[in-house]
Amino acid sequence: MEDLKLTLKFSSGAELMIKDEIRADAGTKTGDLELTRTLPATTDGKPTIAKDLLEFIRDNLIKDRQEDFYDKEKLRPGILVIINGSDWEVEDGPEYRLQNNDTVEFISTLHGG
Amino acid sequence: MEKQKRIDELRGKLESLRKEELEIQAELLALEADTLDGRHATGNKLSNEAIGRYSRQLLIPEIGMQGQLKLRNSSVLVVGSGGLGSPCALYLASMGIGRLGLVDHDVVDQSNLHRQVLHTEASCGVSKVVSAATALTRLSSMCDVRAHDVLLDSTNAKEIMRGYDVVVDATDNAATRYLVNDACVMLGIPLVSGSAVRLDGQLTVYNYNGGPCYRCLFPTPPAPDATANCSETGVLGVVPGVIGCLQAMEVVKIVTERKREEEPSLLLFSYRSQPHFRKIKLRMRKPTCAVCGDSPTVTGLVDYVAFCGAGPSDNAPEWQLLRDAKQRVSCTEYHQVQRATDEASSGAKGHLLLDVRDEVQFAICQLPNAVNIPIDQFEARKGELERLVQGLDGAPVYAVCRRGNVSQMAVQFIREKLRYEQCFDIAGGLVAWQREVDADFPAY
Repeated sequence: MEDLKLTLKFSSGAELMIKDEIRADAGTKTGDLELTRTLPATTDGKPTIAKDLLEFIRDNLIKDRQEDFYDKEKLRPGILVIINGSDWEVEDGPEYRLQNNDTVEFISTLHGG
Repeated sequence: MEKQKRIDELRGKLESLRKEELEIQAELLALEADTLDGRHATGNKLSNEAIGRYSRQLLIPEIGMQGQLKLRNSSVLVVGSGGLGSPCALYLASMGIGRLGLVDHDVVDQSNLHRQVLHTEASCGVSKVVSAATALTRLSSMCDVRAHDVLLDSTNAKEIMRGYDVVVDATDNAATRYLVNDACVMLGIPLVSGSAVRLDGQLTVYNYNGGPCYRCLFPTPPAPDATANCSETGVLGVVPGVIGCLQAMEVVKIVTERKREEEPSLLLFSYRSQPHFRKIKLRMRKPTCAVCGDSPTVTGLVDYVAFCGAGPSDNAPEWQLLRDAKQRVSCTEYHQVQRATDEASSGAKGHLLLDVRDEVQFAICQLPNAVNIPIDQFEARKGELERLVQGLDGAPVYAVCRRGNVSQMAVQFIREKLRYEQCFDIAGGLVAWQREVDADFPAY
């Protein structure tokens, strides 16, 4: 099986969760962050799903308090996951089976006004 | 000479008239508060005056006479008279909404004026709803403006919101957003929700046409330290302006029923992105939602400040990281240290003042001889810090920031990681400095 090439985006403040050196590599201090990462098509013998991606992001990209981002099936409150332009709940949420060339975005909810 | 005198006289007159207008409006609002009958016309006809006034909207097929009558016969509550509420209420009044309610408990501050465009220099210190109502009634006598000068909470929300056709969430904090959402669900009112921070804005319509409510999307509130507000992180004036205008447009679409044809979505706006807008397709109402689901567990308004761990106050919390009071000095005490250093012979290593704010804030204002190392860079610049501290020969380090919060983290870092005991926090930071020591120091 082929690997999955994924585009990962972080915006509206969600980019601040990402390690400084990764942000610096992508040329941004604040503001939309876009990365490409490759994941295996299967994880533990099963097709790779959104949940596996969350674990990958937690272990490889998150700056501090990694367990706050995703732990015990719980994603950090206030973060929306968008898969190919749709709220992931429109798809199968954490169970969504990732496809090659998918774009997965993480957006922080804003409270100010 | 004569001309200049007249100019000064006219300027003075305008200034006092502007103040007087606000006073008159405040008294009028109070007197009219308990008159239940609307001052705006109702029924299925527009007056000739209204036809003339709204003629440019009547000409659009999507609005027309029927749409304009719907706007005139509808009532909208705008919660928050700030950066979002200002443009939103302004356009709702100008487009001909019949009754417009405003809720805000705050008073106008000069730091509001760059984005809260209903307010003026004259209204600084005046209640926001009085200031907003003054601007709106000046614009249109056809709009019945109702002002609620209160902090919306679980005890008064339903009473204030009941009877309105649409509610606009133009608030600035998580607790009030959950409160307004839950009350809208319980009262069956569509909610037009907007938010803006820094350079980004978001817009969603909740609790409408089978779509989600705020809790369907965000069942759990974010950690209090993870939320950004305008007074801490800043906001470009026009960003809430853009979102507030769009909120007014969404209200028009709901009132004229055009919105029924649309699927639930989240609109994202950014100053940086090209194009500036993006639409995200949202889930429908969640059957398991705690408030709008099939078997709700939240059936009455709760304590939202406890639920979110933070209240609606725009003020930053005061941290107490340093348990030992000896590790903190007041601004007045630091002022004495500063003067003693000035008087000592030049060349003596008096002390090190370490300003730990980010570079953007440091550029706004700083105390004399402050060395800027942002707290976020402490780990990366540990070697540099170590050399600075070791070069002091035991002289003290004072850490300062905007409010005396993160400077406590800096003191902990220097004491624990660099093992340098002569390190103290300037309690209250530069905000306290301006208040206690130097009134001429800029506040931001």
